[in-house]
Amino acid sequence: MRELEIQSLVPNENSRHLILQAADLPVEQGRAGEPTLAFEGRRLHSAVDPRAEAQQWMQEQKQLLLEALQSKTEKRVIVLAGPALGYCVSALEEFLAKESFNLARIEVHCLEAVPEIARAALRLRVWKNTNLQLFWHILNDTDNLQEILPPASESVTLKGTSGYQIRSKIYDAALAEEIPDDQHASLRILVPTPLYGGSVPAAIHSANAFRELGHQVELLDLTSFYESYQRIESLTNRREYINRLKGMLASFLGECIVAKAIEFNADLVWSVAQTPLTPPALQELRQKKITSALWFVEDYRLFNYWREIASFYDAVFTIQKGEFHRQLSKLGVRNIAYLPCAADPSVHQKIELEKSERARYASEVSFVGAGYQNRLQAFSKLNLRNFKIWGNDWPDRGPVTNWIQERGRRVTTGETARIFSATSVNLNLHSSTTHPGVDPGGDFVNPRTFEIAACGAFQIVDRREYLPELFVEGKEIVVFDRIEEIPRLIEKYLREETARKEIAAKARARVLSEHTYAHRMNSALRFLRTRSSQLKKRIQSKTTFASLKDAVSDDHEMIEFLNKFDSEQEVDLEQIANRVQLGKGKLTRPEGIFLLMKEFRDWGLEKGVIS
Amino acid sequence: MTPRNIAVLSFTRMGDLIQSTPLLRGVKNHYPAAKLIVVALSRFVETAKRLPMVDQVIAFDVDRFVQNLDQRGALGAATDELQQLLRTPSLRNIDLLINLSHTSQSATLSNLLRPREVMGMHRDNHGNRRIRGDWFCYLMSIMEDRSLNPFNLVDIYRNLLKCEAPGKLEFTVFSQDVARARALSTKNDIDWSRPLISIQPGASHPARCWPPERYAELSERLSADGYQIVILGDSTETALAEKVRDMSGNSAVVLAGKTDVGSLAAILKQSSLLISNDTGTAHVAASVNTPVLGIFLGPASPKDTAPYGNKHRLLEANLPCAPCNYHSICSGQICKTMIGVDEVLAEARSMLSVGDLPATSDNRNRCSITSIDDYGFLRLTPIGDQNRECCDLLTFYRDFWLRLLSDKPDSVTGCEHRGLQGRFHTSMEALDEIQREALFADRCHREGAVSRKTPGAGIREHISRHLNWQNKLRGLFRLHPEIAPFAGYLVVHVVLARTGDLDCYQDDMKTVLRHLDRGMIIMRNLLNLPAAKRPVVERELA
Repeated sequence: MRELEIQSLVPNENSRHLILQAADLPVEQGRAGEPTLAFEGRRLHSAVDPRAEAQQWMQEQKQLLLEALQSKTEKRVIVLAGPALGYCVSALEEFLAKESFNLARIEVHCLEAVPEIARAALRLRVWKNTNLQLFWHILNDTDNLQEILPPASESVTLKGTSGYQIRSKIYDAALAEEIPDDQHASLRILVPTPLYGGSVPAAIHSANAFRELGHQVELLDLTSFYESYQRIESLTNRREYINRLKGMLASFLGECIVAKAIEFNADLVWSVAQTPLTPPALQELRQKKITSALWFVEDYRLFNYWREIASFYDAVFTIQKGEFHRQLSKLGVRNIAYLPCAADPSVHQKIELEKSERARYASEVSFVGAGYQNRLQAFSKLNLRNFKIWGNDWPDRGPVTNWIQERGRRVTTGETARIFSATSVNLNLHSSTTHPGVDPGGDFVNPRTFEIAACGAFQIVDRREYLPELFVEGKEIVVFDRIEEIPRLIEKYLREETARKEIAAKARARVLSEHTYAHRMNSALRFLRTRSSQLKKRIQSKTTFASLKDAVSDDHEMIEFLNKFDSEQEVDLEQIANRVQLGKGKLTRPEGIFLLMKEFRDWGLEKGVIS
Repeated sequence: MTPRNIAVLSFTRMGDLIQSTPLLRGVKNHYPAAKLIVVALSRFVETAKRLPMVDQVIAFDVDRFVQNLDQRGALGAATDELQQLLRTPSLRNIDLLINLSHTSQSATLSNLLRPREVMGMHRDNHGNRRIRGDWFCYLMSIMEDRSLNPFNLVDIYRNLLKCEAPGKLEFTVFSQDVARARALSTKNDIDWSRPLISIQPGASHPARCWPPERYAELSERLSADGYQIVILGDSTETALAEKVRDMSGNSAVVLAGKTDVGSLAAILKQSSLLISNDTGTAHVAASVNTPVLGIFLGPASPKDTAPYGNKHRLLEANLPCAPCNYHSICSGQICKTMIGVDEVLAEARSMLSVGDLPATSDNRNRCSITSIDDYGFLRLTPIGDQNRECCDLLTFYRDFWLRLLSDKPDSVTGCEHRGLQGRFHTSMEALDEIQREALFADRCHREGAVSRKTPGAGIREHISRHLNWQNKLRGLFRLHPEIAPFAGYLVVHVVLARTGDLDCYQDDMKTVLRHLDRGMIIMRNLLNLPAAKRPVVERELA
């Protein structure tokens, strides 16, 4: 079995590797002429008629499936756990076709615990030419469902028959990663920002998304320290001292983050790439039982400082998979998950520009981004009439100078939304420091792709390995492989306004339904809640307003007071006490009780009774 | 209405509880039919139970409560614990609540207990922090700086309420306490029939502790005089006590960590003398009539917290910085080295009448003897030189406060304060200016110069109008230290003014102005200064 043959069916690299390495199992012929399989002495399919057996199974699943799919108009994702040779896939397809579902919109993910069985299934392909979007995954100890599948709330899981039974414990454990009720409590999340750079918006958008999801969030803005960081460079030319001082500043800021996390009583410190959290600070967070997570929203090949810090985090989220995950595992990072970039629709949205703004930002073709060498080389080759380049780090002189807007200043996030909205064709070329033009090894999809789409704007983007799982090429996004293709695509889509708008609208819909920061943060928290025992314990030990109401159930005045707060929120004495307006109106008994508890807590902290 | 249930909030330490006994006795004598309930921290419940005038003790385990507040998932338990306290039957119908603590949490608890009448710090129905009782305000005003406080804490407590409080500490030693103390002594080879001296080398803060090697030498030499020496302390002080014992050549017996408050009191009662740093143990000794030789170091001040009663002796370093400020950080506390073993031994022998009278004229330390004066106040009579300046100011303030807060008509000290005229000249002018500005701000309000159109605008405008004189008042601490105690007293009123409502704020400002005016009249009178050319304040404030 050659790798290429299964690549489209098995998107996960680890799974692919396991299948390719697995041994071939002996296949038997059933009485009806269909192949069947036995494993560990157990027959996985009927020896008489495995197809009829699968149809019977389908009948049993019918109710569950129809209910789930009916309520999920956006998402049609079916997970088949223990599919064995895949007769159930055929039965499922027949059923869905009969029920008039659009098969092309249905994703079926087969979860297989035994690589040998998956190998046999992929070799025999009993489902023949399916119209479903079919994927195969191997479930083992190191893989995680969150990395592979959409959230359980957006999919329906069907259990195979014998295929499920032979490894029921593994499937049960994997599928039990459903979040139990007590894990839904609102979290206290501290989001420190980096000092500067492209990751700062990721931190801000993450914080907004956490808030949107109902969590208590504190954004610790460290950008004001950037000036201090820069001043170090002007103090001395000696690199040794610059590095030492920068290290000290990073340690100091790390301590600031720890102090804030403790003060805020954070459950989770969510940091993005470049956030100054040093190993000692991360160790202290762990000591204080505060979960730390890093979202490395950068190219791991380009920036390799993750090697020094990753293992100190409780979880690392990445925008790249495969080799990066393997290297992180080697470093001892236990919880790793793929979490692609996203857009914040409250910032990146369709904007109708004023006349004056249009004159400034509108263009037939625009590019927003820094002047990386590959872009410079690529754009130099273009012969475009109405082209605007926005962003910094572009050379003062050269072939692209005439296109550079407003002296190559840094553009704000708000401006990018205006530019995207006012541009007919947004050109999106991922940066590369290794290749001119399009990077043939480029894997992750940059934030700009999502942001342009979220604005309802049209874009053409260079080919990226992970793009197909995020957008449908040709329908939601237009892709080019070589720089030379750009002029033709631009010309085509400038001409075909309807097609352009249709694609842009579809891309926007896709972003809104799948690729917002809220989606990402939700996935990340699901992962953390199931993976981090520390976080689990903290959540379990939380006093929510709901649980407090239970504790004081005989006190109606108190219940009435507590009803003013969100039941799922953790009780925060500081927050409640701040709402008590002293000197204005009567101080009620419940208000007094919470005020007193807050005062005692402050006293305890001051006197060192508690830390 | 005569109160039937009187509750006293005393979230203080053992020493403070004992120091409040004259007040509690005064309350009990004044309302003999009332039930006197003390709410105390659970670790001092046994102390409270031995206060003979107290009818009921209710414990509040503040440490557990606070730890529950910090523990996730335990907030329900903390809420429950608080509710239980509030639902205690005897606390549900309080006629008079006396809050001896000055923390905001005790103020909030005072509100939650919903008493008919409250004295001391509390929160009113709207949650404003208030203080009822001028002496309570005074107590609050000396929390940060007691340097010019002329009163022992017991005397301040005695004056908190308008009821005759005797000048005597009380503490009951039960027969079981004596039995336990005797058993403990026997177990540790202490002969109950032979003379005993107790020493207490620990204190609430290391800065207050005389060095252990000095206690050790003292112990060794007193032991040589034929006394049995016991070292007292709580369980956290056991290591220190053992260190003293070891350094003293085992001349002393360690009872630190082995006693409860009852047996501690019994041992102290049996002792001929207690030699101690400024500690609760010293107050227990004073309450059972055992003479105390107190060593006051760091921020410990004999005039504030000397053991109450006659003939206790108190040693402190003769340094301009002693006693130091509560918050000062001292790297090389030389006060600890100023008081030598010879001096302490001489005072001890003198108290025990076994040696020569003390010779403390080397000016390295100051020694005072306590006595209760004709007016029922504790006095410290110095042996050797004293800082006259400070003494004069202290005498001045003793007269001043008793007139201002207790309406005593004449000088209780019998001192002439004319000599301080020059010192107070400029500070009185500063007070005049503050008074003029405050009256102007008050007039603006009365004459309708404050906007009431926009909600909140009026109060903000009015507060800002008063800010200038208030800032000047605060500035007096630095510019005119001699007036700092009075300024501090006024600032307490300013800080507690109700800023949520224009009329309430105005009322509170009027109160400050009345205190200011009255204080200035008393000061001028005491200093024999002519009355100032000032507006008719009473009419202005009417």
